[in-house]
Amino acid sequence: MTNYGFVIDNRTCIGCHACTVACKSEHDVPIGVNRTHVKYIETGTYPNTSREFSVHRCNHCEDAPCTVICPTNALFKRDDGIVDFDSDRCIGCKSCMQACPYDALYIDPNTSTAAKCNYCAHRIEHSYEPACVIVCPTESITSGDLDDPNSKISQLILTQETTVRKPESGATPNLFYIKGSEVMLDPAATERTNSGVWTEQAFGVGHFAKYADSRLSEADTPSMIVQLALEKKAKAAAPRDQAIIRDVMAKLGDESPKAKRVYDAPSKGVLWGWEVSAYIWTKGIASGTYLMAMLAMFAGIIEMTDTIWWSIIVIGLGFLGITGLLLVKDLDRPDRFLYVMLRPNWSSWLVKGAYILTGFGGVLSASAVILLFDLDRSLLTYLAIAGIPLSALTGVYTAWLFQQAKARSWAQDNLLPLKFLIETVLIGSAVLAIIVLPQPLVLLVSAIVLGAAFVHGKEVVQKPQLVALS
Amino acid sequence: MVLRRSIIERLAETMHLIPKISEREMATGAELPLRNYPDPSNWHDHIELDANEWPKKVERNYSLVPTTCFNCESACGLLAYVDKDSGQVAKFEGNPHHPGSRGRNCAKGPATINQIQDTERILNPLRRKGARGSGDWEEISWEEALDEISSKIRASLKTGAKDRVVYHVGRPGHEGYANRVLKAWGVDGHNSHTNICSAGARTGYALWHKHDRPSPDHANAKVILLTSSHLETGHYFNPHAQRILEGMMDGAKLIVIDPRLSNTAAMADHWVPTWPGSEPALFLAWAKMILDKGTYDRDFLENWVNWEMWLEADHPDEPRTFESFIELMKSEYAEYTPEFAAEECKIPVEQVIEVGEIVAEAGTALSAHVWRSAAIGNLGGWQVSRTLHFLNVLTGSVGTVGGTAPNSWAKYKPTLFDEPPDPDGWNELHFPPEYTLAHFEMSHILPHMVKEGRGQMDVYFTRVFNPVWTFPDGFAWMEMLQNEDSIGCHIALTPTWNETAFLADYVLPMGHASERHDINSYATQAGKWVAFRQPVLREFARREGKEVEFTHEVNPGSVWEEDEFWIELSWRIDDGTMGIREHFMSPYREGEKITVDEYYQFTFEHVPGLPEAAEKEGLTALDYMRKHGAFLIEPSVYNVHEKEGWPTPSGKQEFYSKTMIEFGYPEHSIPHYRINSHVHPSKLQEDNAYCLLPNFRLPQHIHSRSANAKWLTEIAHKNPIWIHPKDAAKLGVSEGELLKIKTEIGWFVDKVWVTESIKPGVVACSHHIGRWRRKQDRGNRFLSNTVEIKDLGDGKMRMRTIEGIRPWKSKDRDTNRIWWRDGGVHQNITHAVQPDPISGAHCWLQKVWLSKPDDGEEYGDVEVDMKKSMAHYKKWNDWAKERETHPRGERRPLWMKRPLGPRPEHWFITEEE
Repeated sequence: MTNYGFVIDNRTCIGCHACTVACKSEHDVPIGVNRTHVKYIETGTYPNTSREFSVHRCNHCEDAPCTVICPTNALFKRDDGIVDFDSDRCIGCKSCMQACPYDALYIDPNTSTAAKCNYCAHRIEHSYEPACVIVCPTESITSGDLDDPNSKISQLILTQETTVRKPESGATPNLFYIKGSEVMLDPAATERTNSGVWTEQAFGVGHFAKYADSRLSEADTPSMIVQLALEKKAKAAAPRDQAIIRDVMAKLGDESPKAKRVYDAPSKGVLWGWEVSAYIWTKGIASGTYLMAMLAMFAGIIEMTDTIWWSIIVIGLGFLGITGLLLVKDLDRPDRFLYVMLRPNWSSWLVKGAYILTGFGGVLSASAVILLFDLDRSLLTYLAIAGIPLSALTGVYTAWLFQQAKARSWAQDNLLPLKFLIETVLIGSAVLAIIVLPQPLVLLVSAIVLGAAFVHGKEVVQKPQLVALS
Repeated sequence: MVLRRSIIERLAETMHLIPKISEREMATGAELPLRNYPDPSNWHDHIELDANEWPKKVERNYSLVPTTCFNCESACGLLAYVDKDSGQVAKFEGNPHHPGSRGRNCAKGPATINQIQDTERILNPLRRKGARGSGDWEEISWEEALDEISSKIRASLKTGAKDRVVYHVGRPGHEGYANRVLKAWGVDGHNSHTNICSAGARTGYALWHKHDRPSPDHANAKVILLTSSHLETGHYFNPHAQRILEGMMDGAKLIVIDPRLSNTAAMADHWVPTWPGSEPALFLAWAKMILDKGTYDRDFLENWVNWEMWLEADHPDEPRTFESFIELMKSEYAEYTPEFAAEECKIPVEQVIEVGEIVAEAGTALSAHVWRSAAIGNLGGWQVSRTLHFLNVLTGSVGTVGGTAPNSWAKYKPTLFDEPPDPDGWNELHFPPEYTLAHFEMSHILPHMVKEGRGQMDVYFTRVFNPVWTFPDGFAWMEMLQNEDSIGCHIALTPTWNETAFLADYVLPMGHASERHDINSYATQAGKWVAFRQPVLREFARREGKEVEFTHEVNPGSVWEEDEFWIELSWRIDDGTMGIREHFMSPYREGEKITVDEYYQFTFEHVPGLPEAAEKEGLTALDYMRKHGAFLIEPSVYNVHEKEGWPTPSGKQEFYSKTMIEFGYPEHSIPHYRINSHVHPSKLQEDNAYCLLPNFRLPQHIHSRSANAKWLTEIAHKNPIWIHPKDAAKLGVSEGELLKIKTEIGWFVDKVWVTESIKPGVVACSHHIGRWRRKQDRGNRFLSNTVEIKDLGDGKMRMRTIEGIRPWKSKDRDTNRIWWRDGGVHQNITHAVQPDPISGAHCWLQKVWLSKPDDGEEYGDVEVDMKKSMAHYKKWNDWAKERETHPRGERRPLWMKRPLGPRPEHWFITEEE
């Protein structure tokens, strides 16, 4: 079977950017984002200085993490090896951008949906090579069938020593570099600075390009994310998140290691902002409160009264509602939020999570109905048999979602589900304590716990996103 | 291919909860092995799926029309995808039939579409309303423009002056068209950009063999020796890069000489960071190594070099034998030891020897190249190409497989339908008498000579030419262009705004690459080809059976092309008494005005082999070119001298130049390193004095015509000053901080880029960035700062950036997405003109003094003292005057090239002069 891949030959790549521009032309890629780009790195000291070029783009992975995490099958692996996408299915959740170890995806400001190199699938359909391949002056990009031993690409892999970027990612990339160097392929080997030799390497251009229409021209900083935040503030709208900005700025101030990133595409900034960290907290309140109340009830620690029932149900439904709103708000295509459940990709924890949230919401709603129509209270206890696992899953499932974000350090954290469970338990206990024992000391301790959980949640969400992927 | 879709999705779609998309036709993938381009037989009926609709399969119907790129001079092939439904070009790819570019392009090729679709392009003829440079324009009709301009030219011609109607062109992009027009008008009116570009290298090569440019056969070389950066810039970047890499993959060693680690140097096996201007010392040291090792090519030297003349003149007592020639050369060049070269170049002596060994063993497969670089940078820069070619001569690699040929061998010169007589006059503003060996027009000191009162112009055309920004001392150009006594009428022919057009009386919009006709032929390889730049929508209309009389009928707005403009203008100039119209008569229709189709019909009918190749396809020669866009005349061109000899006075390679002696430079009779650059270390002894390397380019830009290409400006938009960490530490500046760069005539303030990629003591700044416009000007907002220009009095001029690059709303959504603010700094305007007394080249490298800016001086600030600029000009100009010699009254050597050469009698200075 056909299995398309790329070989990029760094023996001959001259860093000219013909591929960058040919790709922009072929796909009408907007200013600020790229499907393929060239990174320049300088190493050594004069006169033993060298500059290396390498072309970065979608690796059309064998086990593409983007296709696993994508909730709506907008990204999919084709039989011929191409990882293609369908913008009509995309809801703009950006999870693919968190999962791709190669930073290959961006949100297209024209459609607010994810996009990336799709191997010029529309050309492949008529048996033409991708646009970047035919333009390359030095024929440094080879496309072709990796499974055909006689193809030029297979011959290159057979006869030349090749490397891939981040082999440890587990994604099994299908883009091979001849003479790929460590400093070039490892994003951590060079720091992103706020300036390239010919460019301002603005942060966050890609994802934030959609805000360009609402910007003011007064703010003048090379960092797009900072600029947009400042401008939004200037317009008296909610700032996207000053903390993120501070973190990004702090990162900028770091000292650079020896190899120097001389040119690169603009970075995409933090993709999941305060909406995501806040939603973890709100759903922690919704699920934790119910979970702890039910556990306490079965353990005989508390006596459930209608007041307590109403409290946990109202808090549960209220915060679940806020959770839902935050999730929708974080989408770049909020109009398509239903797709998560109606065009489900069952491997994605975004989908499973949506059904879990719905299930838990159903339990809470049913409980409310029982109370409202004054039905037999023992029905509440029976509902809790479904409610306890569903609330626990509501609290924890984000851990599994984060673990599907293969590009981030979350994926390496095996204890993440346990941490989320503990956090859910803590948050739930704090809220429950307020309900059951509304005393000043309890209020104080609970407030501290809730505050700490909020701050910690932000840390968990944002910190891994500040690590450069390319 | 199957898409997994759940019952839930199907159900939801059926219930119309979500749009029905899951049943759309799925991709099937490729059915054939992947190809690069469709076959030309299908070019008018090419179907491609819409990339932005994918994975929906929406078919687009294209007519693919070949043309050539016009973003640099290489004229690489382009294939325009004309959308049959919209009738507009959708994109540009490469033309696989183009022998130079072979279907491949650099970034600038596909970016042509940006220029076509530029929302700020000039679409109608404009005439100034207020004072020159006021920015106040009115749209006029072409009829008005042609009538007004032709009457001004007619009035000038009727005075009998031969030097007051001038066409000043940057990149011609054509072969012989405009020169023929000027001859028809009878004026010596061609000016160029050559002396800020290739003049130094041309002079060095011309001294050897009249041919003034090299054409290296990189693909077949064993050693590739570049004093250039042709893996990234300049013409013929893309064709050369292809062949350099081919050579390297076949085992050739790449040696790159450059004080800056260019991208090219980064690809080299040996980067040799010489001190600017010291290159001849290095080449002569290698020449000595070749002589000492005995690896020279005896056969070539003995038969094809004028060594006997040298012996006769300088060593009359020595035996007239080849052996004694070799021995005398050895003693002549004994001074160029590796240690001497290392000292001059400031590189390790081990490197001189190590790389020299490689060169010495190259044999006849040494492809060497210098075009600008050190040859245009330094006083005496012409010595660089002269000594570099010396290595080719010694190794016998002149015109061989893998060697370096003269470019004229591979360049096709078209046969024109009519050749008017040569101009009956000599334009001393272009070829002033003191620059006897200049290659060619002394264009960069034009404003200074005009200011001295040496002449003025009635009508001055600028085309693909933006001296206010590109040339040194731009304020001198602004002064000249604003003075209506110096320039009676200034017409800018340009598709897009530029700093020079701001100061025009008329701005006439001309077509971009795919909106015009030109014929191209360049020495990109050891083969000869011809290519056709054609207006693709005109050809598309023809294919669709529609008659198009003039290209402007299919161009956007009322954009013309120059070819038709010159015909119409010339026709109108002639009131019936001037004999001009007779040179614009159809060769096919008696007594009627020629059409542009007839012009190219005639031209292509006379290309050797083309009519026959066309015949095989049942086509006329013109139709063949319309279809394929290019034709390979000779696949390989080698050793032409064996048939034709060398076009020099001696008929041989002129190791010994009698011309140099006769024209007053006897110390340069043979290749030597007798002139130290004006930036030689010995001349930079003061505190904080450095050498500024300002003449390097970027892979994504052309000097002055890419600011309207959004994809190119996104990649590169600022030009910081490169400085070595040690120098930065000495000056107390770190990355991103400001530095004041003081030149001989002014200063500019730029940001610092600290890098190990520059030779200590040298700082570098690309002159591809730093475009500007004033508040009243338009265009190029992707890459131009808004500036304010102030006359500070006493000849001092100040330019300040008042606003960087800003997004704006237009019909192209991308204009509002511009994420960069820094448009760089205009450095050239602070450069003093430095005309080399021999080659006439502007010596680009600048002696500069570096310091932190003073209070109140900001990033992007520029100041120039025009009194100093004139004084600096006079100092350099005097060097030429001091040595001015005219043997037999000759203005310049009669055997050397001169564009638009006047009739023979004008080549001599007459008594009264």
